Amino acid sequence: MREGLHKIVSLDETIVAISTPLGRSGIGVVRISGRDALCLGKKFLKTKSPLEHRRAIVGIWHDDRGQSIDDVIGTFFQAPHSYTGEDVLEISAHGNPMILGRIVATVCGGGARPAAPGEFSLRAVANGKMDLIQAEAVREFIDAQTERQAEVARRQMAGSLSNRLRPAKEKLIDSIARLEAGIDFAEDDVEVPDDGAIAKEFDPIIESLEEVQKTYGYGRLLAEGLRVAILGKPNVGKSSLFNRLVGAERAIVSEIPGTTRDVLTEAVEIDGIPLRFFDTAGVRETLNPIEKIGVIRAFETLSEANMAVIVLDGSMALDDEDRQVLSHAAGMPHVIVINKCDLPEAMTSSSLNGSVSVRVSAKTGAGISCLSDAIRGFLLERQSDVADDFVLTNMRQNEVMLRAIGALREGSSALRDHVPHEMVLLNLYDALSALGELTGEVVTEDILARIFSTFCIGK
Amino acid sequence: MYDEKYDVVVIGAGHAGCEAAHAAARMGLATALYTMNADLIAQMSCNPAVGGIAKGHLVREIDALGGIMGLVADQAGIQFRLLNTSRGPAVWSPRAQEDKAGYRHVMRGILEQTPNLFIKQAEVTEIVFADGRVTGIELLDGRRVQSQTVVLTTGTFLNGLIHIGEKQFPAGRNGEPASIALASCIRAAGFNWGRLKTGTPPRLDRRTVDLSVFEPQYGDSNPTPFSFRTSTSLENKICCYVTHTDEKIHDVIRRNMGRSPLYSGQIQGIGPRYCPSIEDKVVKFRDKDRHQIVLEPEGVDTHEIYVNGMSTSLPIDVQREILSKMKGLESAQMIRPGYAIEYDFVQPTDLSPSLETKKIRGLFLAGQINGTTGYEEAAGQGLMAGINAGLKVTGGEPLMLGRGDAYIGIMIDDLVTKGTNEPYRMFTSRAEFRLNLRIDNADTRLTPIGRRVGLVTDRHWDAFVERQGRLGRLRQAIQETRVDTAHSFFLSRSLEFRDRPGIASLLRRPEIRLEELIREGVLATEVLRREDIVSAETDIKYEGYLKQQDKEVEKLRKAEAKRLPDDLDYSRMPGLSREVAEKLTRVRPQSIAQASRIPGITPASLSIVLFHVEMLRIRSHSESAVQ
Repeated sequence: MREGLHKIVSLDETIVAISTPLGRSGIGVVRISGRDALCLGKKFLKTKSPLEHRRAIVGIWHDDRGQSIDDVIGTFFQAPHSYTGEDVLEISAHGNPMILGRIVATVCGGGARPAAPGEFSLRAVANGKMDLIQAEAVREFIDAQTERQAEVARRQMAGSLSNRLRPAKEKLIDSIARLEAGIDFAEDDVEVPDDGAIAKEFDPIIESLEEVQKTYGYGRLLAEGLRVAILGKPNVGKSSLFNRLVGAERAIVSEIPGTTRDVLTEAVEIDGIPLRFFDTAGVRETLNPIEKIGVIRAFETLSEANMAVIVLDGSMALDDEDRQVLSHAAGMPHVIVINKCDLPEAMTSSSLNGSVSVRVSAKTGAGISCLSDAIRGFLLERQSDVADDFVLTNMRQNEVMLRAIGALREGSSALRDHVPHEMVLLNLYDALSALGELTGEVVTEDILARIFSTFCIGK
Repeated sequence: MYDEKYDVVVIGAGHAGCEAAHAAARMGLATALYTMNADLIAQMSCNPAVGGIAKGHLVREIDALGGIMGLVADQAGIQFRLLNTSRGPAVWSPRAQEDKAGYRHVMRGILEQTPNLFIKQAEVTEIVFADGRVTGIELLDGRRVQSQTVVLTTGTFLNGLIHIGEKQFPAGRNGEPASIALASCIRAAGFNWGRLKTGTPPRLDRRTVDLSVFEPQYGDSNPTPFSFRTSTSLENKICCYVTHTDEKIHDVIRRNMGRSPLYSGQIQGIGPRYCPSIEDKVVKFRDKDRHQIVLEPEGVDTHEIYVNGMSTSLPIDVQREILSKMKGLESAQMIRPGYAIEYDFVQPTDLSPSLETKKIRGLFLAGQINGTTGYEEAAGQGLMAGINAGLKVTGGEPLMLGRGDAYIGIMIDDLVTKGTNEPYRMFTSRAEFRLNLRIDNADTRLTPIGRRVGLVTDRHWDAFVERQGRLGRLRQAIQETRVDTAHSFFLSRSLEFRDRPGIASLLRRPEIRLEELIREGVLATEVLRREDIVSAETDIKYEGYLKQQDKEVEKLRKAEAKRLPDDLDYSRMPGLSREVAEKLTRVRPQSIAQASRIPGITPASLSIVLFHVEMLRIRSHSESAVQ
């Protein structure tokens, strides 16, 4: 067991976080601190002139596949002349949380890790950048950690995650104890099943972990909301539908920052789940460069949405542009809305090849509840992944679960390849320490206790 | 005032004391080794064997550092086995049956040949200290001996109390007096002491045993020595015999359970879970219908046989009844009965990682007094205590091995960080980096350290340098040699290749062994030892796992480099709970890594400590800037 080490926050790694308050704002800042900051900047930020100390430089942030994410301003601060005393790169992007999230994700993909709350300040102290009075602010870091722990403890007290994972963890400890007993007590008559049989024991463990992990799909909707993209060719009434969905008081939306990107977002709630609607620019083939950008953004929005609402104009017949829109959303969950049902009907349901559709009038509000029901239906479908009332909602927890599952799969296949047990155990301990992060620590003494209570050992 | 004066005084000449005295004397310091009976130096109180899984690792490490247990065990060994060879080389471990009298004899010979080392027979009754510093010891005959360092290795002697059935009497070992006066002195000094228990089985007269009914257990045809310095070939002179208990015997035990001091409440001390007495096995593992028993000869010139697996505190008549129901032992005569013994130990959280007590500077503790069990565990601590006592005298920094360096380091870290509530034994599963801590690389890991502190002799060092050279050349040959695929080795195994693969890439295939490649002439080398081949092959075959482990070790080293000053006042650190502050104060961790291993220390409390230390650093920086 790698006891203790995981409890220590490492100050050597490069960290990243969105450092402006979450939510809609004109500008959002992502801050990267650590020795890889410049290197990550060079990798993902395409600029005309190279990054220089304390100079704001315009560029485009790309993801690891080279796709552009946003026009940004990058400012590099060379160590020790920065807030933290380390190399720092600050990226000012548009304040859309989704865009900022994608920037953070690319940086993490490049080897940085998300910063703990207050960690930038802690580093500033560690590097002698703050005087003692200022540094008192770093208490925030400690408080946040304590709070997070209290939260974890609270959740553990409620027990849902621990209870769900405990049987799997117990089985894993059993398997580990058996393999360890085979190694440490080879002189005693400890019987260890053959490798294939032990590997088989992992299948139900992996299965039960996957069952829990699978609930993250729904849990994420609970935590982050359902992202619904509203899509359609120009002038079918997308914006009016958007306004209708988000409520009358939100009707005047043109002031909302982010409009310049031609993607409007707003949140409402269905069954306690926040819904985020993304109104997009009209989608059609165009030569107009400005409109073209809007169309590209619409598709990007679509690729990040959980489902699409495709808006058609019911007062007109289905045309090629409509068909094109329909084909874009074909691969994802979607609802077809035939708008303008207050006008004489010109579109027949039969022209939609049997796809489910609802007729609404964004203008009068007629049929809006049917649309809500259709979205609710989608949520219920997701909910069927959830066996009981337990749902994984936290991204960190999900990552830890994936780590545990991955390590178990690796261990299982290593066993089938007859890799010596002391090496297979590296994978198993990885899995166990991941589970320990979610349910409470496991230490060497626990494994030994299991060995001594299971096997009669000794002379 | 004082009658004699030494640099280092070692009390107790068991496995810890011998290593401690030898180490200090090797470092050039005048060393006195006190024992109550000079004829029983390095007595094996329990089984006639050294090594075993994880314990064999300890012996190798002791040897690599320049200690003597491995040399003695090789010379006095009468049967040798390498255990766990069906697994990877990280958990291979040597074990040997020893001739008990021979072991004592060889050890005494080595000690007598060690310059600066003086063997003394006397009972030590008091450790003299003033102002928290050791000044010397006092003997039963009234003499006083001056020394600024004392290594205390009391084994089971400190307030020893033997139990055989309903009978109990004070003793250090059966037939030897306990240390009562010294125990009062240790208790009065204010250490956190407690009671532990251990036991030993009956010994039989071989002439009354029918060995023909047992399954013999032979030594390896190609014995593996403990010591890197043993060059003569080792010889198996005896074999052991395996049998099992059965339900008839278990019935006898169950019927007499009320007469076992373990179950009548007569014994208060806690025994080891992994070395249970036979009555414990029967009670705790009800569904197991048999338990393994191994008959181990205690030497070549004696008929005495050790009944491994039958440690007991049951009355003598019950021991006899149990034996009489065992096939082949029906008419066995007992030379000595089994017994349980309770003794005082000091909670090892009272020690610094150098094994010096925090309360009394200059006083070092090693072996069972620190709550451990086993000859090898004792010797490992004795060696480190001896080295650190020596360094204390010469003014050097204490030597502390890390968890990534050695099993010895893991053992001491576990003890001083977590304390113990039962006799502590080493297991490979305690080593989180065990893939790196192998018997074949113990010298690479530790001999340079032993050399630095002055334990490794010139001859030992020359042999080490030679082996490293040999290993280097072998590794180079493995990396650079491309094989001839027309070689009969490949043809006979119908292995086909598109081009000429290198040895290294061949070795990544699980079925190809370096030993065979060399034996069959695919790779030409100079004369190698088997373990040279193991070292070189392991690095390649398990490269992926080793690299994974190296990353973890790197993390550990970084956390170990974050030192915590000795004078940190945890009780006044805002944000720490009283419980956490008390734990930190008791253990006084030397690094943030050690702090992280204290049970019950939370991530948040570690951050608080880390933060405080950083603040102290800033403060001292700004103060020195002002000056």
